[in-house]
Amino acid sequence: MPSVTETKRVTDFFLLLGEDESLRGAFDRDPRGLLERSGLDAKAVQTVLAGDLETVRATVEEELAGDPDRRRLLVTPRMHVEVPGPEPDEPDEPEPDEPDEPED
Amino acid sequence: MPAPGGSLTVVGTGIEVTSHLSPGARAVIEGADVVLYLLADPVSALRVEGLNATARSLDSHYGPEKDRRLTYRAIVEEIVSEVLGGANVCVVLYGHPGLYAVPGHESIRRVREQGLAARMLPAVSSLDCLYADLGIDPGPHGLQAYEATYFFELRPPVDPRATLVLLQVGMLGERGGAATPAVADRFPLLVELLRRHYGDGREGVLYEASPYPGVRPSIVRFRLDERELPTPAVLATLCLTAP
Repeated sequence: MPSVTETKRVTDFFLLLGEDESLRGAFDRDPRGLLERSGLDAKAVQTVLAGDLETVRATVEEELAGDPDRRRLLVTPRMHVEVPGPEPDEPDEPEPDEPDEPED
Repeated sequence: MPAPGGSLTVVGTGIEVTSHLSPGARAVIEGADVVLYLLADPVSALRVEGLNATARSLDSHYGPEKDRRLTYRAIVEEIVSEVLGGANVCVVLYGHPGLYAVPGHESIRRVREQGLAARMLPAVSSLDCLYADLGIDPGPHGLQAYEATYFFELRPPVDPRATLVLLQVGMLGERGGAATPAVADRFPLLVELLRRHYGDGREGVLYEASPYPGVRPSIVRFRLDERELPTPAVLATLCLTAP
């Protein structure tokens, strides 16, 4: 069994799996065993094992919302494809500011 | 004499955050001077940031009501400007970077126009996940795939024997950067259109691939003639399988 760095967050558990193929394999073979050795609390272990997409996503988002360094990553999923319709107008260029009068 | 300037490689993370990123894409991310990303999942964003400290999000170009075409122009300008400044740039998009994704293709076109190197690496798309999770092989009866708003508004001809896939149904009719409650009002109109083509008894599936290992995809089945229709999630795809 590969050793797993202890983590307190589901987010970090997933990051560990992404960085270590042997851990990813261990997770496929025995998800409960790896999760229980990961340091996650019982509730988080059960959340991942239950395998419900909305619940796991909500857990990840809650973890990030509580982390000042990672909160910025909580954004709406964005689409990358155009939709039909007339061409949008470009926003007006802002008027350049009047130069300040030189002070005497 | 080589043209001055950098280069551009557009890669995709795939969908599942721990196992879909290919070794080739990973190497490009790690070796780039500048990494710019647009990703649907924060775990994926953290992975990319962990691979290259320069990685930064392009998300700030979106606005809830800003027409996405303006957003794409701004994104492409930022990408091209980094390349023309001499950087070897890697753009990271979720899923397959060229499937229903404007900024990657357009950036490559613009960079090549300047005589500089640009390429795209393929990746696992949500459509690939759909084939696996719903057990669909488009071989026997064919496949029609459209962006949902395009299908809804332009009404292309349909083949009712083929599987129909409508991507981005969770953004049906939306031109801005975020879904509005109007999607829930438009969805029954789309289903009514589908009923006319495919018949009452046909089953629809709202599908969303899972980005997390060991976590099931979201699969919501309904009949086209149901009174209480589900509301599609932002990243949902609507699929009508062949009869």
